Amino acid sequence: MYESQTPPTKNTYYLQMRNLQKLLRRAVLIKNFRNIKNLDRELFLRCKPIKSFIRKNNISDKEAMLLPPVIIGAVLGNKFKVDFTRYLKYPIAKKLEAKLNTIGKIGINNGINVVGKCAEVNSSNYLLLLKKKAEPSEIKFTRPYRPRTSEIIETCQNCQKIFN
Amino acid sequence: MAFTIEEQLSFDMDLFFPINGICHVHIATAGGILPEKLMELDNTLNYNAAQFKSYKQQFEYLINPNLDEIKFFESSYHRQLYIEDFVDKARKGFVSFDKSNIYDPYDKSFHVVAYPRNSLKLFFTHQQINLRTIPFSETIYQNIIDSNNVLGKINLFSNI
Repeated sequence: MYESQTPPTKNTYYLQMRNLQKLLRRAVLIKNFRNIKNLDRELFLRCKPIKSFIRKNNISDKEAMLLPPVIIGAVLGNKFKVDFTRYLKYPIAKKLEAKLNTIGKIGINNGINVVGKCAEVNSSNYLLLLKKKAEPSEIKFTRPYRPRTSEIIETCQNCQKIFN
Repeated sequence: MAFTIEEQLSFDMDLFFPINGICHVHIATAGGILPEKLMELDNTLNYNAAQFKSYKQQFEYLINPNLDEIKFFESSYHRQLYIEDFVDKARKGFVSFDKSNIYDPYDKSFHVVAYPRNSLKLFFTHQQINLRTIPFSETIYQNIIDSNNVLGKINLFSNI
């Protein structure tokens, strides 16, 4: 399969990335939400099934890159979003963008971490786009987990500044 | 097309390759950035990762005796959850490394989590399933030797 493979074009590259992101979204899909404690527990229990789900359902030839480094749940009022580490894509909520701009340029390393790539930023962006009047500091998060090991990851200083 | 910075940051990649004709290694990147020269070998690394699927869990394994000094675990249950994925690799005959400092994507130190009981023997057992080699495996091997503590934190990719 790999021997005869032609080098991927830019289009196939983006298509594969999009498929992988879709697969990851399916893997972290949680339908029932009661409270943040419950969501946190659910995420912790999901770490193991996520690994097998992704490995089983992968259709891209990017076999080396399947697992997200971090997953997290964000809660704003009665809405919630589970997301993972990835580059922040447009549209970006204005209040979040303004906060991100105070710590550095989006997509560039500010000496602490790459601004806007954290799971916290991606999950909160979705919620802030839904509730435009809400402030980033109103969002509550579950603990961030690394699916490979189920270990709790410390929140980076960038996210601590943005979300207090 | 090489692995982009975006891909490296967005995925906890599994890299598999043989080292210097001695053993097979697995490296979990934990969303860290690795040397450009290594990341250009995406075809090789994807091919090796696909080959890994056909390996069978058939070997005895050992856990790094220094693991508790390198990582802090809340309980033995959390320790068990942590090592599970690496044990899977070791049981398939790979010396399995994890990124030591997962908070800094630019840090390049790694530590062994689990390894097969007899790595040398395994290399010959695995001959029938060929993993593609990478050009600077000798440098990586040298880095392991130079670290003086094979079971501590190792800068696997210095001089690459």
